[in-house]
Amino acid sequence: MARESAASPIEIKKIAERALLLQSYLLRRAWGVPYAAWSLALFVTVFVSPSEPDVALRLIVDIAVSGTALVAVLWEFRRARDTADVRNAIINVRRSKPLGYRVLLPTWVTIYAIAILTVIFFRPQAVLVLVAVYGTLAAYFYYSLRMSFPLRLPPEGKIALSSLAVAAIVSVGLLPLLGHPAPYGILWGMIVALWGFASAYARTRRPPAPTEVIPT
Amino acid sequence: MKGKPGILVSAGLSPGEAIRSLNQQLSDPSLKSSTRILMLILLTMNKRMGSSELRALMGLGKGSLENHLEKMEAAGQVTIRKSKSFRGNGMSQTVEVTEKGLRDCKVLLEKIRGLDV
Repeated sequence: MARESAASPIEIKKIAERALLLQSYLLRRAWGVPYAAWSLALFVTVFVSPSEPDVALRLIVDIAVSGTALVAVLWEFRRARDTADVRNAIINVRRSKPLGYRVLLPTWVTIYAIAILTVIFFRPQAVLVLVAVYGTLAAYFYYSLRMSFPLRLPPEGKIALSSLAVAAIVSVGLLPLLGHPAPYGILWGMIVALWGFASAYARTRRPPAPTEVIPT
Repeated sequence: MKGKPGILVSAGLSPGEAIRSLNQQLSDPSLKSSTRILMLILLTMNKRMGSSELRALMGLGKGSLENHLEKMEAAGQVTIRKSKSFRGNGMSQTVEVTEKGLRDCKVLLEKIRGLDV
C-alpha cells in the first residue's frame, strides 16, 4: 500500500473493508477496559460494599461503582457509532439506531431508583431486585457489544455476557438459600474472575494480519 | 456481504456522473495513496490516534508514516500534536482528524456507498 496513483472505486471499497477489520481489532482491545471496570464493580458490589443493615450505604457504593463502569461502556459508544457510519457505507447490515447518553443515563438512574425504593419498602425482595438489575445489565451489554460487533461477537464478549446472564438466573434459583452467602460468593466470584479474564484476553490480542478478511 | 442492486445511486447522481465525481476527488494528492485513504477512514472512526498505534496497525516505518502524515496535514485533513512521552525517552505524537478530513472521508464513503463490487 505504498504507491502514489489514484485508487479506483473498487480499491477504495477494499481499503474501507480493511479499515473496518482494523477497527474491529481496536474496538475489541478497547472493550478490555469496560470488562475490567465491570469486573471491579461486581467485586466491590458483592465482596466489599457494606452488608445489612447498611442498605443505604451499600446502594450508594453500588451506584458509584456501577456508574463508573457504565461510563466506561458509554465511552465505547461514540467510537461504535462512528464505526457504524463507515460500516453502513460499505456493508449491507441492518442499521440499528444507537442509544446515546440521553437515553442510557436516565434509564440507569430509573433502574437504581426502583432498586432503592424496593429495598426500602419491600426489603425481602431486595436480592431479587439486585438480580433483576444484573439481568438488565446483561441485556444492556448485549446491545452495546452488538453495536460494536454487529457481524460477530468476539469470544471474550460471549463469555462475559453469557456468564452474567447465567449468574443472574442462577442467583434467583439460590434465593431459598438466602441465609447462606457462600453459594452467592462462589458464583459471583467466578463471574468476577471471568470478566477479568475477558479483559486480559481482549487487551492482549494482536493486530489482524494483512491477509485477514472481514468476517461475514 | 451482499451488494446493492445497481452500481451507484447515492447523492442523486447518475452512475457515470458519480464515477467521474469520485475520480475527480481521487485526483486530490492527499488521497492518491491507499495508505492515506486507510488512515483517513481509521481516523474518522476514532477521531484521534497515537502515531505509534497507527504505525503498528498499518505496518509502516517511522519515516513512511511521517511522510504520509505530512501530506495529510498539508491537505488540512489532520492535525499533529506532539507531547513528551512518559514511557520512552522521546516524544509521542497524537494525530487528530480535522473537520475537513471528516468531510473528505464522508464524501468518499458516500460515493462508494452502493458500489456493487
